[in-house]
Amino acid sequence: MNRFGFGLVVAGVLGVAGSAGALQIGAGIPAAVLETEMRNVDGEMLTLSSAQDEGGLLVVFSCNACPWAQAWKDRIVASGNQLLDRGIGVVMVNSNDPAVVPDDDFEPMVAAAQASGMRFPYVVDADSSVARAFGATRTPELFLFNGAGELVYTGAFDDDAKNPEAVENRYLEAAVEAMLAGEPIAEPQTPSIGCSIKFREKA
Amino acid sequence: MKRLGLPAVLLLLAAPAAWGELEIRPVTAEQLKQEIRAAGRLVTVVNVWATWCLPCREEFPDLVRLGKEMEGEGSAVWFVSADFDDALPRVRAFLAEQGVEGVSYIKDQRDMPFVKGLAPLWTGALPATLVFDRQGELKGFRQGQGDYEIFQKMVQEVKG
Repeated sequence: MNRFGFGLVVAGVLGVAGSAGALQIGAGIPAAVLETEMRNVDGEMLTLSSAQDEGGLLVVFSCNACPWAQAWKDRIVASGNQLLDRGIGVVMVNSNDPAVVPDDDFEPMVAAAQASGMRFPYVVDADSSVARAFGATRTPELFLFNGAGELVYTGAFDDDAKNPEAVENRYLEAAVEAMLAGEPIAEPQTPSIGCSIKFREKA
Repeated sequence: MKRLGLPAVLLLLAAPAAWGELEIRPVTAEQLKQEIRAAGRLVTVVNVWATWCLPCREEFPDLVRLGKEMEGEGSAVWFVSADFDDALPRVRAFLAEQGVEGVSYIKDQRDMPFVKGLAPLWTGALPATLVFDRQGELKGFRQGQGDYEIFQKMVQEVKG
């Protein structure tokens, strides 16, 4: 590897994305943001700690305007609603700076949540600290934790954002089933095209 | 996107677009790397972008400028759109507006093999800029918006 090796490359990436590096499989929910209060679309404050359920927690970094988030939205909402009924907490987090993306301001979030039929919280990551702590880089990006609070899956919802009928690999659903059965997850990390998170400036 | 059959691909390769004409080729990660190796340029910068991606659009003119400046030394900047296939008219319009001529590309593969096939460290977030050497080896990678100085430095690092 020459001097433009991956170490420096990663450093360059961090400088732009403002991320602390992706959370690794087996890691816990980042302690620094476990109790961070985030405003839900119902006006109440919520923490990741309080969103956890006995079966685990699914954290979805998403937003209102990104075409990839839009394309997957109905599937993510339907699946998220089902997970609630199976004892897995679900929270959708919007970390985008509304000064950069006005569609990601609170009022459009409320409208989007109401229109989608989601039964899980959709919260504001007011300083993007939650996305930074997770090392999230794009929307949508999913993080699934088991009942012990360990990361077991991170990545995409499935393998075809645009055409639901063409999906061959339902990554999240497969991960959930394996997790609940106590089996290894075949594809624990799945990169996918998405909109870069528009991080808010650090205070 | 419907995959082009082999005869169509051969036809495209055999009859490159006339100078000034814009041609958008569907590609997989492997096809793109094959084209980079076949072209054998000193440095090939690959920028993956999308019409809906604001930081992609903002950095785009800097990459076009860099590409034009590097033409003389046998290096190039190639653009790969990650748009959905129904955005092809918007892709073409944006490339034309930015003054991109000749061959450009659009992703024709599922996300995971495309992302992993191009850069192991890439999560798929856009934009992404990759720098390949003459042998088609990935030597530089950036995820997130850059600017002219940043891209120029990435190229210089690879040239040594």
